Amino acid sequence: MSHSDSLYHSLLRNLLLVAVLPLLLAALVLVPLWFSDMEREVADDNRMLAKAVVSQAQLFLEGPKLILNTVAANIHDHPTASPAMLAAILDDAVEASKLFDALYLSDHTGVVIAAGLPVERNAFRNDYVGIHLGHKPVIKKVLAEQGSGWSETFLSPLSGKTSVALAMAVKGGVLIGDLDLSRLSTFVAELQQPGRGAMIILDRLGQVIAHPQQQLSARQINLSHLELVQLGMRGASGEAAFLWDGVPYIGSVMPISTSGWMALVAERRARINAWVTSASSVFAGVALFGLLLSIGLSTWIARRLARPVEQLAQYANGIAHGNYQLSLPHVEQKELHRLVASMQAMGNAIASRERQLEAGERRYRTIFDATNDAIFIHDAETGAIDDVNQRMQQLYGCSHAQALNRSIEAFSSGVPPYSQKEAEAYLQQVENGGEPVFEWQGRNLSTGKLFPVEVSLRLAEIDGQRRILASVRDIAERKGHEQTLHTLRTYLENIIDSMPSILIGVDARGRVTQWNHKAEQVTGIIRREALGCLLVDLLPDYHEELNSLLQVEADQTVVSHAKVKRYREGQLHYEDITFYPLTGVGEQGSVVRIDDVTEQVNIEELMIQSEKMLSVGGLAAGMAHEINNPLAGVMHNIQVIKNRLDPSLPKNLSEAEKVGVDMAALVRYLERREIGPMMDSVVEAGKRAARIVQNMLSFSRKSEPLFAPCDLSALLDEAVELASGDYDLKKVYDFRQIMIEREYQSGLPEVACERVKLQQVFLNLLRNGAQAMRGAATEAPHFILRVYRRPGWVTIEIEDNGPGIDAAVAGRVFEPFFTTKGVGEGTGLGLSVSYFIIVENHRGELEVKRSRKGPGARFVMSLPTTTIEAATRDKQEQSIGQ
Amino acid sequence: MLLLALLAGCSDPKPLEIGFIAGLSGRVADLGIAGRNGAQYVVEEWNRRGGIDGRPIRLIVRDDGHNPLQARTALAELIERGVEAVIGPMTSNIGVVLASQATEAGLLLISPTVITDDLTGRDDLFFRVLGDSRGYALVSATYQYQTLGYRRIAVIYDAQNIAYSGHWGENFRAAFEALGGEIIDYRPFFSGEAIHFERQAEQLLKNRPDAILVISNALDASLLIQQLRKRQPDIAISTSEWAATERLLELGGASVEGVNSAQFFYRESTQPRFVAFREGFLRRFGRQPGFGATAAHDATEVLLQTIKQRGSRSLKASLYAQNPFTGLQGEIRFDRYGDAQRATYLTTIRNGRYAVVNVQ
Repeated sequence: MSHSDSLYHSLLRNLLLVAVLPLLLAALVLVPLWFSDMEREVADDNRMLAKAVVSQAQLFLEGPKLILNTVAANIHDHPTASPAMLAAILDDAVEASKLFDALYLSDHTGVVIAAGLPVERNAFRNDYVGIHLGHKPVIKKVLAEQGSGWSETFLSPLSGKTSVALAMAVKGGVLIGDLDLSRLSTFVAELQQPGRGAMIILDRLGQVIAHPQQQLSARQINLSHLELVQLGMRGASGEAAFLWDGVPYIGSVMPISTSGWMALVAERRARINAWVTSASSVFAGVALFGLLLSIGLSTWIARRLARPVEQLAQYANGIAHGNYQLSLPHVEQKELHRLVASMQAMGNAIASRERQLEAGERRYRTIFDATNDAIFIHDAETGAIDDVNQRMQQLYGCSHAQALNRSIEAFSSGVPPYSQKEAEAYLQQVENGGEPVFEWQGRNLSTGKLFPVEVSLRLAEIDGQRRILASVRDIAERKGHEQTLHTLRTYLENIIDSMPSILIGVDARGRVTQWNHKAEQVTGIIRREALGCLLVDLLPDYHEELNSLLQVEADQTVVSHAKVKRYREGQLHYEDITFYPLTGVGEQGSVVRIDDVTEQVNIEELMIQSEKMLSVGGLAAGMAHEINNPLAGVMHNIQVIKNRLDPSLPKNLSEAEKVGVDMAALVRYLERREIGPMMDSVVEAGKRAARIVQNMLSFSRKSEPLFAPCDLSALLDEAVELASGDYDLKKVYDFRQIMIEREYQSGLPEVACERVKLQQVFLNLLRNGAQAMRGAATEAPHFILRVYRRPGWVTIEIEDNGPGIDAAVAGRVFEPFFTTKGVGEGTGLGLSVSYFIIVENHRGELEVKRSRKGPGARFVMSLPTTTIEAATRDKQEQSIGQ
Repeated sequence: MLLLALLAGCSDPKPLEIGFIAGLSGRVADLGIAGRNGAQYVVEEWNRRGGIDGRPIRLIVRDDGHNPLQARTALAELIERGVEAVIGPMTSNIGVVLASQATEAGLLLISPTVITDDLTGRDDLFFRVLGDSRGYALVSATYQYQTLGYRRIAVIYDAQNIAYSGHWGENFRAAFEALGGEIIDYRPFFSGEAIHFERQAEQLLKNRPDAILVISNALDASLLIQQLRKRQPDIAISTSEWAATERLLELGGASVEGVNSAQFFYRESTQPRFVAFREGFLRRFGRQPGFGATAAHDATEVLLQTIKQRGSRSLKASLYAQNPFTGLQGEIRFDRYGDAQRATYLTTIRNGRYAVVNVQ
């Protein structure tokens, strides 16, 4: 009802509508009427004018005919006239009539025998006499049919103007008159009213031959594309609208029967529009005046009717607001007068009832405000707040009036689950017979602070109406305690969860009471599922160690198991397991802690390996030096022996002769006893020993390495290339049949290294892998080569899908002279040399691991990126030195 | 207000205006009117198909009166009006005057029929859908010397349109003399009302030439030929292509039988585009299209296609981007100076029609 309009405005609007509507309707009806009226009027005008043009044209065409008749009669009267005389007759006719450009008399073949010209062209007469006109259709026609006829219009050879010829049969020939049609334009122009549309004459082809603008009549403008003109060309008259040169017209056409031409009279549509526009403007002016008048009148009437009603409304409003002292309005109308009297009686009755009510209300209010809980009274239907007590006003920081104007949401945090939506759901619950008690988040209106409350709702009937009573208790203090506890617990749990160890709490009966994040990760059992279960059920693999729990509980001592081996997902892991008794107040129980120490154990093993290798390496290098000297002696002396047995050397021959030995016989002897091959064998064995020694020498870092930055990916590729061409390898295995997969990280830094030595390492590993795969007849053999970066290092992995290296062997592969190959196939030095190159020479790491997928071996070597700076510096110093 | 609003209709898109300029009055009116009809035919055809980009095309027609001063005024008026480009003029004297005016104003001028050598080899905004007069003159001279065996020829030319007839005559003379023929008379006349054609005919026939070459418009040619044939009915006559219009047949009648003309236009062509045009033109204007209408059709078609495909280019650039064009009787390929070469047809008037005797 609040949107309803005032009586005054409503009256005013309706009165105005009554005034304006007829005007609008009149306009809607009148404008189209004016258009059609005007069109009809224009069409009538056009038709009338067309008729006038037709009669003008016929008049124009009558004259020449009369003159030709006269000339024809004249010629007829002079049958024996000479050409000169005929010319004179024709000249006279031209001069006297002023209608013709020229008159010709032709013989029956159409050849001109005499020409009549205006005085100024007399000198050219001979240009016309003797010429042929017989091919012209009108002359042909007149010669054939006698009588007379009009030619098609044409551009005159004499004047260049649009002309028409009138031909008339005379005895023995044809009389022809050329008529300049520009005179016709003059005729038409006389009919033309200034400012009006077009008034033109068209010939049989639809060409303009007469136009008020004379120059347009000589341009053979063809309008036959207009339907109206086509109508005229068919000899009919009619009206139509058309576009000419982009301008819309309404026109009438009417045939000129004498010559087959037509008159076209047209008016621009714009003229009609202009007239209607001006008529409409007048109408609009009148309408505007009427409108203003009716606005004035309507305002006066509406005000006169609305005033007493407004006064009555004010009086009633006063009563509604408890103001019973207002004076009654004075009204003239009888009906309104009765209304005033009833209203007065009603006011008195209301006043007495109100006083009683007030007393009851005061009693209730005292009780209502005395409670310690805040109370809201809601309308059960709408949920709106009807009343609140004083405690509520304190708690929520608002006045009574403010409380009534606001929604529940205003007194809540407003964020789900404390928004209007949830509040309404609780109210609904009460409606359905429930008495919910729940926690809520209240908002203090003056401070804006949020505080927790406990709300209990119930349905009550107050003043005969269904209300919902909300009793609200401030539980901020209680909540505070709860929060502190919660935070503390979370903090402790976070600590436990953050531990890198598995931490499990167990009660006296072996049931899980605590299960940290690491335990979830390792076992894949989440805390919720684990809590309350027997630990033995959750960790069946640990049943042996879990027996210690009993001991722990009984003795209240700590029990530890170190480096317990365990296979998880096929990988060997080492774990330290510790059991602690739970000391403290409250329930008995224990704590189980499990640490994965695999990494640590590996490092320890690696250190041991490294130490071992160093000592073995040192030993081997020392030995190599010792062996090298006697070996050199053996090799050298064998060579000398061979030389001294050579029969081609003169020294040998002379010495043999001195001692009486026949050299040739000696050679035969040596051959017979196969001394030569034996010596070769000694040389071969010596060379092999030398190679072994050479390798052993590289175990010691005696020489200064020549470090230079290099791209490891490229280096690895070079090694693959070398391996493909390796002759030794080719003998047993075609390296090129092995598929190579490369997983190189891009943008890797260069690493300082000795290219040749690293290449040797790569080659060793590739060769070993290839041989292992061949040995195990691996199907689809392949290498996966990886080069990637980790902080401070560049790591290279060479992985094969061969048989792999079992754990027992893995620990020893880098030891010198350790080999799994058959005797003579390997020296057992390849991997140990590689180890020394990487670990000792390059300060890197080299490990053998299992392939990432399936069997196969994976050699992982890492080189530090830091030495590159040192290497570059060295190089710069060198160049400065140079 | 409401009433006024009721009256306001929706306005059509602004028409795209192109100019047409030619002699529409006086002795050259036949060619001008034919050209205007040809151009108008194309414009109406394009408008029936929706104009260019929805804009209707409007042909703004101006008469040059075959008078240089009137022509310059008319062109200035079209430039002032802001037309996109202009078709025309139809005669060489006016072409020479307007080519430079249009180029200075940056306005593209495409002429259907101006063939004067004066405008050959100029890189300007003047274009024409045919070449200069050399080709026609050479074909005509060769035909008369070699095929018809004429050795002595008298020439009469219209000095009013010297830009055209002067070159035509000189080109003919050079070609004919090179072949071994002789030009025994070479006389000018000034087109206008004050010509004694009978006297001209008498002078031309005096030295008993093998044939007479008339370089003029159709009206003057028909009047002169009437006089020549009146004096010597069997005299051989040839004309330049300017005179070879339908009007020559209309005015000359029997007296123009056997007259030879070199033309770029083949009336009996059965090319479908031409046949459709000839039939449409006949329906629209009640007469056959002559060379003026055909050439104007080609020029207008070239211009409208150039405007349609213009994009952000100049019209000249757009024209060359689409070069060559398909004309009614074959390809129109503009050279870098805006000239287009065409085939030349030699015709003889037989039974009131132009009959083709050879094609070059």
